[in-house]
Amino acid sequence: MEKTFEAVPSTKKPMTYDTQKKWLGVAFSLPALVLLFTFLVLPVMLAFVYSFMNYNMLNPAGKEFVGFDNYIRLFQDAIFLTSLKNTMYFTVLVVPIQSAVALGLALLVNKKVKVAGLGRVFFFSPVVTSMVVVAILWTFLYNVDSGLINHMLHFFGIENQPFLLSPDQAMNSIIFMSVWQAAGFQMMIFLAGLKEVPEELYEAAEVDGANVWQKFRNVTLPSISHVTGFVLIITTIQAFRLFIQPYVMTNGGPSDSTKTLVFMLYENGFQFRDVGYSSAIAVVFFLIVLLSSLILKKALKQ
Amino acid sequence: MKKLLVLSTAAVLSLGTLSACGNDDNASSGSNDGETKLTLWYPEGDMSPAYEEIIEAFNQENDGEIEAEIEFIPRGNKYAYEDKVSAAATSNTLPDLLAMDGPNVANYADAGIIQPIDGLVDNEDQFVESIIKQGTFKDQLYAVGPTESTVALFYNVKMLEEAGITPPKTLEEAWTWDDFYEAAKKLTNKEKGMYGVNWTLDYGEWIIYFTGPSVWSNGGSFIAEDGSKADGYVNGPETVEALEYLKKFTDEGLVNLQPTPTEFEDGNAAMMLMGSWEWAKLKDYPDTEWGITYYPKSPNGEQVSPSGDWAWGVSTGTEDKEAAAELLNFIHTKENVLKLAAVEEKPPARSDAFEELTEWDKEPLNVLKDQVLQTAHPRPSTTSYPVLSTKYGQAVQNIFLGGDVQEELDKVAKEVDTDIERKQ
Repeated sequence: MEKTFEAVPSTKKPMTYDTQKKWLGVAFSLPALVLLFTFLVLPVMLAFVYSFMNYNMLNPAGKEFVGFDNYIRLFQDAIFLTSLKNTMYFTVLVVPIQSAVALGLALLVNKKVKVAGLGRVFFFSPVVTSMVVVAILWTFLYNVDSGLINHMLHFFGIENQPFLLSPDQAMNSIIFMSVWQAAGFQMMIFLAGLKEVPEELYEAAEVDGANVWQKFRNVTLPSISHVTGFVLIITTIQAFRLFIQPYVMTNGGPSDSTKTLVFMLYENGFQFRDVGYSSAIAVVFFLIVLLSSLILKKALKQ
Repeated sequence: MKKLLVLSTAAVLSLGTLSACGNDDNASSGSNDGETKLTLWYPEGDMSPAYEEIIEAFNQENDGEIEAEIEFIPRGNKYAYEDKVSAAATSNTLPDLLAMDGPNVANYADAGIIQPIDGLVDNEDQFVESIIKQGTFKDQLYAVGPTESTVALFYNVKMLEEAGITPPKTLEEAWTWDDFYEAAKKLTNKEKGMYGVNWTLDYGEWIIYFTGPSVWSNGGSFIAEDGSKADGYVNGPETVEALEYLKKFTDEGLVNLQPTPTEFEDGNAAMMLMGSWEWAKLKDYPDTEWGITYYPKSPNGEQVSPSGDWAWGVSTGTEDKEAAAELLNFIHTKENVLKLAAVEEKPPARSDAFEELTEWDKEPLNVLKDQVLQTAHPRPSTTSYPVLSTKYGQAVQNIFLGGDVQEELDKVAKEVDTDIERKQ
């Protein structure tokens, strides 16, 4: 049988190549979009709705709207203010320290020598280890009597430190181990940025008689500024989500000194089954993260 | 566009934490070919093999009629199992038979995720009083369990002998707080790294369970009898006094705040305030002679011991209550109770089973038997139990690390009362 295109009478307007391409694109992304909507967008919207409800997780039928009650309770809750303060403290310290350490490590392993590869593996290995495992190990390291760190301090004649047992030291101890665990990831991103800096720029700087610091300050840093911005933003968002370390190592204590917003959200939502209150925390948390990201973005542009 | 990207990244990363704690799709009972299918949940642990055998025996006996399947859920030292039950309750995916720790009975019964089993339990009169009390909510029976538990003072016989300390052998002579404190002080040797007593400080249910008897013995409590109020109870003068007493141990370094898991077994602590299951563990250390004595009592009160253990309830999601009850009774026959009790050498929760275990009449296990049968006290029955247990546990940790007793317990009272109000 012979096909003749002219012989097919069509009442519809034929699709142009462009519209066809457009619909094809939609069709391809549809499965992902459906999943994204069901498991991400929908829960997020539900969290907004639930935050205005008194909702006991074990008794979904009994949920009822209570207006702004959860939010009023939240801003009068001393634990919320403590958690907020702790989260901020962690973020403000971790973001610059971790980024600086990561950049330092990246510069270190960017050398064209054989050990550099080994160094990359070495610094990256904590990142691929589960945070829960790392947290448990560091709990042992921080032990007041038998921990390795105190043994080392003892060697230098320093008294045993309580670390996780002290409200003053617990958060700093967590910051230290968090930087150790996560810096390797940012190091990799920095490393990718460093690889893109054209060699000619360094050569030109050398001709101009620039020393190592001047080369770093005037060539390296400006050339990787876009990477730096990205690293700062993702590190900030990750820092806000601090949960596993206090959950495993200190249970938010001592004296709530390591309680964070996400820890509080988990505790109220899952342990106390107070879905409404916990959703209100999530919404406030979302707004804080959003605001911080926008501010950071604006600041980086300048 | 860039703004949108930042916005969506922020949304994904922040609110994504909520949806990250999802749940499984463990469907509840369903029948085909006329065969009833039953599912059971139990926390994963040493008991798992024994339960597997019992379920297999049940399936053989009821071949073609009922088929049961048990699933073991990891618990950790926190509340992972309870989290899973909560998630299942919201999505109607509860198993037919549900194991729960004693104090959760009230919460689950109140929320309607387990149903009354009055009249369905065979030989109800054989169960020890504390297990029936634990499973009762508003005068209806909701759960029974095969085993009981208690906390006693385990000790290293040689170390106490060397220090010239003779622990009491009868309930009437049980140590008072002061006797216990003096003994611990005498046994502590800081230069040698030797602690007078070891007690675990984990972040789960343990804290309220092991400190409870001190509070009750002193006439204190955690919450009003009807569960309506915590203020004036959990922070009442008797409760505060009891914790002031325990705080002396940590303040003076008689207890190690970060002990190794086997500090007592390794001979680095002379005594250990621990659950009855410790005796089975001590059998791995046959070179040392171990003893058990009673939980110390307040000078103003009677000797009290904690009680409660994992119990079984029938979920409201079951489609065949009769079959579920049959399985429940099968788990609690005298033979199976003995089998389950033997795993961790727990005290059986049936008195007729207890009578068969003659070694429990001899030293030192008679101490545990005395406590289970005579001085057992269940933990409070309240729908706000999760908040009480968690907040009280955190408060006690803070107290042991140097916090002020009254201040910390006031905070607990406030949190619990907020939760009670919310649920009304």
